[in-house]
Amino acid sequence: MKPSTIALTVIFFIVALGSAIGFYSRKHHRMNLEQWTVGDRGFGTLLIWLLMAGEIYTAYSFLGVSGWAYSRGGPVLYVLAYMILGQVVAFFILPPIWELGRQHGLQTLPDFFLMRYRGKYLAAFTAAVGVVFIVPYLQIQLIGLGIIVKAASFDGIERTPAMAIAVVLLAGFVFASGIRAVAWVSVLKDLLMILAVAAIGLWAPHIYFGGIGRMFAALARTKPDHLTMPGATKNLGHAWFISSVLLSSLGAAVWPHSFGANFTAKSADTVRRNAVILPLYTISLVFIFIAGFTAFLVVPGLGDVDLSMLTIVRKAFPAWMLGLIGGAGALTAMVPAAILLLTASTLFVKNLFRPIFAPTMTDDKVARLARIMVVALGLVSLYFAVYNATTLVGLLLLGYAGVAQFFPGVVLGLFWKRVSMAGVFSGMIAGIASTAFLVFTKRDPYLGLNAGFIALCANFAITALVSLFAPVPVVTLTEAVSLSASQDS
Amino acid sequence: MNILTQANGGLEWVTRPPCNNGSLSSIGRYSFGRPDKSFRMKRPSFPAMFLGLIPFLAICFSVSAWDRVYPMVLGLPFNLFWLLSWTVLTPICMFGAYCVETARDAKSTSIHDEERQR
Repeated sequence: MKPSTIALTVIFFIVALGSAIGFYSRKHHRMNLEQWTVGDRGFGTLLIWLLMAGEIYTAYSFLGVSGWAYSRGGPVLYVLAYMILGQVVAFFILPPIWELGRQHGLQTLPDFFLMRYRGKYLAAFTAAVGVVFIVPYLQIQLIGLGIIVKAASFDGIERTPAMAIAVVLLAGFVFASGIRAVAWVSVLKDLLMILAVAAIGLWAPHIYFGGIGRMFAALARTKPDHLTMPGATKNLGHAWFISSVLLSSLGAAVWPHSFGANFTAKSADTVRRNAVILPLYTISLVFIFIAGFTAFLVVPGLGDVDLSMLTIVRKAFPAWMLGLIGGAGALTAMVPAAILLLTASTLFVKNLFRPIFAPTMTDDKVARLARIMVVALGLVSLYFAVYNATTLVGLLLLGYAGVAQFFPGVVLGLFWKRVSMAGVFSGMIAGIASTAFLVFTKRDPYLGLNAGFIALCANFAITALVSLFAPVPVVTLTEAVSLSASQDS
Repeated sequence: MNILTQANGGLEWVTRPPCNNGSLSSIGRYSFGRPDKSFRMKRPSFPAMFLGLIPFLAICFSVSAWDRVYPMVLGLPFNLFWLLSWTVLTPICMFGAYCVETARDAKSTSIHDEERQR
């Protein structure tokens, strides 16, 4: 058999198995809105671990992180640092959010803003911002999947059909089983992913250098600067590291899909326990760094740095192993894509469409429309991934910093009584506007600091100042009644 | 204003009792009457926040101290080894914080129950 046939068969088998698990997870559950979006708040420690780990480990970590280690060197360490510290932040803010979620039936991030600040338009605004930043993130997952399948099949499958098949499968299992599908497909994905990266990280340096230690010794001999910050870059130094780690670790918990996944837990204690143990999962990231550094020595001068890991895999491994890694990589793109798709469609229908355009819609209708939106949004991101691969990259750069601008509204809303809707609204707009300005005028990093971090500081300051000095709007009884009427149906 | 100075101050909200009918369309409906005493928003305790600060100091703010290649440990450059060891040390710190927080929760729940019985 040709190596490409072997690799393709293995990939196909893995993806088919993953999708089958996704469809099967629906069994014995009636898919209403609560079940579909937050799994009836019944996930135990294991499922929560898989779900949360499933969404931090994306196609970006697989390809992008090894690409950074390959092309930029030392600064890549920020990924490991923020993933660890993001769990420390999660430990403090997710359990109280879970508690509020249970008390008020929250399912999404805008639900929280609506409950805390009683602002219909603030909630709709956060939903719109969430969707705008999620779609490019989703698109990147699809592009990553296309790259992985194409490379792992020795160019046997082109990117477009690979992406199309993946969208059909993942929209299918999200449509059928909602968040439960995402958690269960993560089981397979995590097992394969850890196997795959450990194999690459341990075996590839062994083949070319006789071990990880020797690989690093060789790298330290030839290019010692590559291993520390700023590495191969000019402006990613220690100040950038600190600001980026702070921004990303604070922002990680307020990505709308992480926020929503939190509500699937069966207790606040589950969430807390998960935040304690999840940093251990990031150990596998070290293997990806090692793969990138090995590629830097073995296959220097690649035009597309995102291919560094797959190039070394193709060079070093037999076809079946390539298929295994390709299959793991494909699932690594599909699992986060599935939860992003689910979140974006729920945000759109429940928090944007219903309150503004169709206040009389029932929850069952919301669930039905959200499931249709899964298919629609899947096709939209497929279209962008195929025909418009570059323009949304700007939005994605903005997305990482932009989503973190939800943080002040969430954390102050939890722990500071006086924070007002006007404060949060103006802070958030200022934060997103200044991020957009700095990123789009190519001023990131600005003064050696991450642009999003600067915007976050401005956001905090404005939120606090406006909340302190502007009078807190008193919600009159009539308004309260009309607000609640607009929510009931 | 300052979270630290009010570390143990509870924050009470005007909330309505937990939804008991499973209906989710009730988001956005609030009782504006008496505060519901069954729900108190608590800030994390000071010891727990201190334990959470340790990984931030070790991983984030002290980067200039550990971002170096030598001495290599276990074949890894020092900066990578340092972060790798904190993937294990952070859960240990946070386990400490977990114990503090759960102990406090258990205590406050029992006090709360006594109050309710009276």
